[in-house]
Amino acid sequence: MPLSSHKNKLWCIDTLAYPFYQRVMGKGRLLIWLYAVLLGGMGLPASANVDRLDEGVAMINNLVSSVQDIAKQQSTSTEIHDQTNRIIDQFFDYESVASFTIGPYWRKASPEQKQDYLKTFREVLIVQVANNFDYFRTLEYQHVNAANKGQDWIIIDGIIHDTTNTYPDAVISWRIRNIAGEPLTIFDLSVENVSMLITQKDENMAIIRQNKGNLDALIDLLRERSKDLRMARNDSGS
Amino acid sequence: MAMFQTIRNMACFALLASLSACANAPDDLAVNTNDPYEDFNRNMFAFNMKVDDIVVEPAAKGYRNLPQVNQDMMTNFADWTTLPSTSLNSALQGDAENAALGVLSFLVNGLTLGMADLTDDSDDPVQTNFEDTMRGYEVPQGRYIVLPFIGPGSTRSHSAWLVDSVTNPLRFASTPAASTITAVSPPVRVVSYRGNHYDLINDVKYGSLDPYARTRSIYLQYGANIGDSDDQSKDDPFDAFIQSQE
Repeated sequence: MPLSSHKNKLWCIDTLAYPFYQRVMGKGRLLIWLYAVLLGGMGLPASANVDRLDEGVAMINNLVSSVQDIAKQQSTSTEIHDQTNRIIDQFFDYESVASFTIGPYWRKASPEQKQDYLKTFREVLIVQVANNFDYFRTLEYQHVNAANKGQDWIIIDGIIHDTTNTYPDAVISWRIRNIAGEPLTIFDLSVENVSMLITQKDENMAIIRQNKGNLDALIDLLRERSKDLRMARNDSGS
Repeated sequence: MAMFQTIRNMACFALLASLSACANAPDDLAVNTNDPYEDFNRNMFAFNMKVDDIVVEPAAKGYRNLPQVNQDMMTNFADWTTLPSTSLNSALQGDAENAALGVLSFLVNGLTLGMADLTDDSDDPVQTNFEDTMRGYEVPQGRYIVLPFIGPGSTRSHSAWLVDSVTNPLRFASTPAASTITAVSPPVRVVSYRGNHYDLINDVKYGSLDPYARTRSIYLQYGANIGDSDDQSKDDPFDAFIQSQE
């Protein structure tokens, strides 16, 4: 077949099929554009997500070594108290964590109650952690896995090993809040799939319910608890 | 895995329950939907706490003062007495290998009445019970309920406990030795368990503002994580929290 004939035929096809061709090419361009958008929209964030996961893993490793450093030092209880306070501020979104632990009662609370609760809950948390630093000395943490959970969370799994073999190995999961453009913060810790924060929330809400919705009753109990824990620490001579 | 067992058993045996009768708050936040019998449960929990104070905790303290070898013997014996149930339920679950391992382990360790673990660790059967069998057949968990002496559980777990007690093949052996083992094993199991998890249980018992609520939370979270939640469509509480902030 002569070349011109081909040309004619192609021209004919082109001419006859032009509207169709235009649509297909148009769609092709659209597809390429969509692909580019997907690459831009997914590819880059995918790499950003990997970075965030790495950042989360590094943060947990950093937290664990901070705790171990404190545990290894022969610090006074005031020093441990201050260092624990700093750890909470550095790694946790404390206000969100605290508000989670009283569920819907947070919204109902007055500004004064919120401040009281934030203060007393932090106090109990610090004394509880400080009282357990002896236990932290013998623990080893091993990272296992990091993954996104939805768009708001990163879950980092690890294993806690007690070097004295008093306690069996435990699987733990850190739940980290992942807000784009903001630093990562730890939100929860689960031990063998039992969430510490949900357990705390269930307990706090039960107490508030028992007291007919009165948040002050919980705050008073927390104050008592903080006092008892401090006394227990002083009695143990730490 | 051991911690899983710990949590489940802690919820089953250990804590023993309740404080005062629960006052009903007048708002919609008053009712815990997982625990419709909370008043009754709290009273049972209080009763069980008393039993723990008077009998179980002192016995567990004594157990912890025994030499390690004696503690191991008691724990091994307690585990050994559950092997017939493990075999029976493994068979019901269609796990012939675990059923056979259970029988083998029971016979071999039976030479020392189960007090020495003569089998290789890799040959130890995975402990299972009638609740696992019911879960396998998708029987719903039912309501959270605390029973005197038995402790926290669900209607399914308590029913399963009853079935396991009645169908334990050791009960059908008519020798005096078998009768003695059947009579002795429950208290040994409770004391060795309480002793082996002494700090953990005391942490919940003495370290909680509301030990009842803490025990219930751990029990129900454990159940939800092994697929027991009756409401699988329930929102992730953490996602719900984020949404409530937006």
